[in-house]
Amino acid sequence: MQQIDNDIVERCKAGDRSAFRYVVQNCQGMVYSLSLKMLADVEEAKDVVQDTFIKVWQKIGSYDDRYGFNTWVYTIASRLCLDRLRKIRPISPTEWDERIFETVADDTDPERQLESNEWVSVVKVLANELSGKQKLVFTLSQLEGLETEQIIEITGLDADQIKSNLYAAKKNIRERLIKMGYGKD
Amino acid sequence: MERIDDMMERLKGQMPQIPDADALTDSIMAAIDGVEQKKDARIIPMWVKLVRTVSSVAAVMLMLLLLNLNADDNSADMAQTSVVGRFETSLGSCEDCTVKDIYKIALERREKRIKSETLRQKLYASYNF
Repeated sequence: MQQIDNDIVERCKAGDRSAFRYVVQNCQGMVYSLSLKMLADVEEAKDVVQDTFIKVWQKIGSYDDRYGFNTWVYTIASRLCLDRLRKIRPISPTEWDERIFETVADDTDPERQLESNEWVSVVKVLANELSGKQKLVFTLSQLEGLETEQIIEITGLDADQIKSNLYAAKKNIRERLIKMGYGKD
Repeated sequence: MERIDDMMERLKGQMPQIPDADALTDSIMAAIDGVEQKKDARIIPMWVKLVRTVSSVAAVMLMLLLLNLNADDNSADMAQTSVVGRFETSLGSCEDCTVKDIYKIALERREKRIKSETLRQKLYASYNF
């Protein structure tokens, strides 16, 4: 993930659209990644990406450069994802989703990059029954691969809360997968 | 469960590709332009602000003036009340007169004046003959 220079941020603060375009081009991937894994819906994820950058543009004047720019963008995006999760109805994984999940699980190619629709199926199978907070902590920690310190900054939760939410999320996922027959291998 | 753990390890940090990333960037920039235009439309021109300020100040000053005038009227009323208390007429002095008493006295004066006018006219008419 590419870090955004302070110089670019300052130009954005001054209202430079071309600098902001550069920010969007460099950060939209990570926002899309987070929102797709949180919401398991390509269109909803794109909407969150758009809403996130509108907010970033509106609030960039109040951005404190003591914190990482990407972390700040992640914070905005994760709040928007949680808001949207409260509004949308969770869709249970279909047989098709389970089949795709199985294909991904069986694939041992370490270079393989999943497509968006494959991510939708994987996330639906794994995290469909998790609460918003559990889903956020699980996504940031296990799917995005962020460090605990970064997750603390993004979510505003303390280390113990992160630990307990992650434990609960993993337990829930493990039980689901055992029910689906993944326990005996 | 081991293969799931392997899968999770493989997926860690993987970023899904945005379908048509450039179009998404363009739509974000267009949305920002839209937000900015709305913001510009909401900006009130300087002259409107000035007129608003001036009219507010004028309204406050007018109100103060009215209050001040009202206070003057009250003091005039009080003065009138005291005058009324010492009202004197040709028919005699009137101590602690009320407005009704003054009205009566004024009527009496008027009648008296009319009578003298009538007498004068009659006298004038008799001279002519």
